[in-house]
Amino acid sequence: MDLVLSILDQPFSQRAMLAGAMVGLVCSVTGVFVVLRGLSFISAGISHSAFAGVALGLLFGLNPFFTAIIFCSLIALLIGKVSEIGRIREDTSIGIFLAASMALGVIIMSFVPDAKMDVVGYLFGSILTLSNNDLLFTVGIGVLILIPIFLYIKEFKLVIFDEEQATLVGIPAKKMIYLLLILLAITTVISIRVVGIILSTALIVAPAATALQLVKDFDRAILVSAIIGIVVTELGILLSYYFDSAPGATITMVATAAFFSALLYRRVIKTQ
Amino acid sequence: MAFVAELKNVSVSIQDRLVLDDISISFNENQFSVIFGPNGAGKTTLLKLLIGQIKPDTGTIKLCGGPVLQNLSNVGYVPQDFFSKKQFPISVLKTVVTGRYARIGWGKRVSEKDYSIARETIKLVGLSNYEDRYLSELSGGELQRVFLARALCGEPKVLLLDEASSGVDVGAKETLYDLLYRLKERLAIIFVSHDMSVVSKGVDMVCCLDRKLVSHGSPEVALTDEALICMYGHNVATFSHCNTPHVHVHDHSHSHTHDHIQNDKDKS
Repeated sequence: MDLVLSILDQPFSQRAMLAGAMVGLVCSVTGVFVVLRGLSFISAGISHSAFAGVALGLLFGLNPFFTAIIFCSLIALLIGKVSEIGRIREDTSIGIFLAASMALGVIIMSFVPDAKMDVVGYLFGSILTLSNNDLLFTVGIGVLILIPIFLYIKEFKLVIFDEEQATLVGIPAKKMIYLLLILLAITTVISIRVVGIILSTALIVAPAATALQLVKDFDRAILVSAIIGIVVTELGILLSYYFDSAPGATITMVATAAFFSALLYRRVIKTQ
Repeated sequence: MAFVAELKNVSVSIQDRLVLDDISISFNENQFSVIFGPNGAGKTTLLKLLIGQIKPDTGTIKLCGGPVLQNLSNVGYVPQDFFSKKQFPISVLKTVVTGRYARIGWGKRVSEKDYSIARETIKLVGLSNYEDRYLSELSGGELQRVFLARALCGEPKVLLLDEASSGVDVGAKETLYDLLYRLKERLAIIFVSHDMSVVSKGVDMVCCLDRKLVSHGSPEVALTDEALICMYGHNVATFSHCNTPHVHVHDHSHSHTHDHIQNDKDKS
């Protein structure tokens, strides 16, 4: 308890805990849609494309998170469009964009002076170095993501459950899927500071997958996933402080442990 | 009797393949219509035209007297692949109430009145005690009735069913057909099927399709030997047995299958 209080006493860890809670919440809520719609791989594709987006920002002296949001959103839309017009499966399209945008990011980074200093932070997260502005940015963007999701949760739910029925009752299902991909792209970008580009998929997928092991109802899954998302992020930050380990990787391992615990719990309950 | 759906000279090609060729047909209110045809005959395409998911290359389609996309709230649709929805974490009640979303409106919460109508519809399809169960806990026949309830929950004027009897057992099929027979007093039913035994369940119109409209009319008029041979080839024949017409399919491995076609009066 003393350790927790001593951590919370310091401004940098207060910022980390607050940003972590918001990112944990947003990732885990978006994650339920991602997991149920089978978009986990697209989430990985989008997060890797953030590397090129960040690199563009650094090259042109712009805020790398804004350039990453724009770049990731474009890639998310392109993945869908290329699959549609190229008559190829979505995973093929993702595979192409994932590798290409990482390669583009590496090439651009080679033109950015002192880029090596930043690369590790973007790839694996740097939550303990957040400024007050970074915190405001994370919370603000997080709220902007959650507003449309909760405003149209009934419509989003039907689109991922049954696209055909959604269209029949007047919901523009294709546009809603694209909106979901853009929200996923923005979610990915705000999670970069917490867990980094490489590990952001874990924070999106693991809490949702854990919740879906524990509850059978979509609405409850959203609530349980949100709680798990916040708890694993906060616990990960505290453990990383205690063990002096990398926060992003520690959060990812806690999220993974939560998933396997839920899986085991469900198996035990079922066999009883 | 008013038309609920009307197709005039409709042709559709998908990926350069002609799927429907110059189809003109109309479906009346309070009429139970069945569309038969071999695989690839364009049966599902015809239904997709009526729910606006495919646009015709040529010809016109009217739904409830107007353009299809403006009248979708008058349509209830039971998909072919309802088994694929089984793993989604949603209860029977919440699934059925999605059929009312067109009436509820964008961004608005589902009201107690909507849930009450959904409960009534669940009762109508004989699943009264199932409203809190999850789709993953249901059998094929129960799942089929949940999706039928969802289609009915929006209070449609026309009910479309795409091979909704495939993959369920004989008992579930019989329950479905009896239910459809009762429902035709309230709405028009257009049922795509491979199962010819449905003809015995008060079907008013049969439409035989093989990209072109082979025949249509009452079962006695439409289901002729010529129409069946045109759709399924020369290894199909019909014969009578105990006053009941049968369809006899003789495949190349010399196995035999039979579909029974009973007259409406046999039912009563």
